[in-house]
Amino acid sequence: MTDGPRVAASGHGTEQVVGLVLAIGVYGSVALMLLGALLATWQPHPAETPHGLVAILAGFFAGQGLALVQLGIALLIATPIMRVVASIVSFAHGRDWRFVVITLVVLGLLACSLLLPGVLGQGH
Amino acid sequence: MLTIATLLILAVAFVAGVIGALLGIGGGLVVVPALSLFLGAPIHAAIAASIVGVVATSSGAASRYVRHGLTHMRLAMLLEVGTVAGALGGALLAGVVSGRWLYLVFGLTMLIAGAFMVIGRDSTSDEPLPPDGLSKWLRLKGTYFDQASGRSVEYHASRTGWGLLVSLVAGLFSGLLGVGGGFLKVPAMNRMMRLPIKVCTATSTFMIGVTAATSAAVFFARGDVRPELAAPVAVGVLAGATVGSRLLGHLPAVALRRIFLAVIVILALQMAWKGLRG
Repeated sequence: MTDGPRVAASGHGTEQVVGLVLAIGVYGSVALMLLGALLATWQPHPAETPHGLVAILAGFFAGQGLALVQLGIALLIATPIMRVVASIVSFAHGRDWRFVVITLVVLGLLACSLLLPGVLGQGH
Repeated sequence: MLTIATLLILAVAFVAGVIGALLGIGGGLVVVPALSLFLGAPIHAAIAASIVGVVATSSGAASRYVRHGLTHMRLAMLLEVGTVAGALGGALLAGVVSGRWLYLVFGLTMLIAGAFMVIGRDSTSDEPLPPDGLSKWLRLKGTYFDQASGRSVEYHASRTGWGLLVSLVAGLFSGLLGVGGGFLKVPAMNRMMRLPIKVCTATSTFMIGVTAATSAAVFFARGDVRPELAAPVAVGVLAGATVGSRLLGHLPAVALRRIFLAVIVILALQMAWKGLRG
């Protein structure tokens, strides 16, 4: 599409990179989910759905379809988080230190979201 | 895994994605009632699956928006401090709140979202306000190319503190109910912060990916994300939203909006009724 000058709101052509990261993450995870679902159709249903990164990776290397689906979901959830990490690099490159700090706060909260359920004993 | 049930979930999620795109909402508001009312999924599982779908649709849409320069990435990052904190609290809360309450709060939230859609979101007639201190300190201003007028439009953020507060509330609802929260953020950014509607929509969509990923991570770490439900929801809603946004220009938008708005109200009342009845 040609729609005139693309005036970036924050400069550095970061937009293109971020857009690409998001697209790869989303479509990569969809591919994993579809492949996993196809595999799982021909496999006996596992006794337990693999939860947790270790169980998922173990299932993945054993060629277990359901583990592939779980890995796809994990990649999907990780995609926006990767975008936040990429933003830190871009803000630091632009010497925008205030936003480096703001982005670090967002990342810290994201880390809490992965760790707090376990700490609070909310896991199943 | 490709059973009749999976294909049914896929189809329901696809329709929800189309409706969401046509109404300009993420789809979570339609996915959760569809899964819990029509397919009989427990509401906690429906919310966990929906939020994974919200990550997919908003990241897919954001990857397109961001390349058009409509997204203000710095403003998004600032407001994400609010939405991510809210989402974290909301998702942790969802783990301890009973299903009855979730049905009730979901129904009421849907009614509020429907009311916002009726009132309308664009307010180009609002007087511009001077930037506040935070907006100046963080240089929350920008330009975008407006296709309709063929000109570059300059803008800046006002009332940034209020924007952060609404973001916190939107994040809380997002984490608690498995929705995106754009129905709260877009009107707030437009009317309170006085940003152009296109910038609001693009920036809000961009933020929803991270907001939803926060609560999805909580649900995932807790083991609430059931892959046999979440995967077909994510794929279906993403496909539906893509088709819906393509259809947008070719359909009688006003008539469709009315029909789907009626659908939203009916679903909202059913959800609230299910919560009341127990």
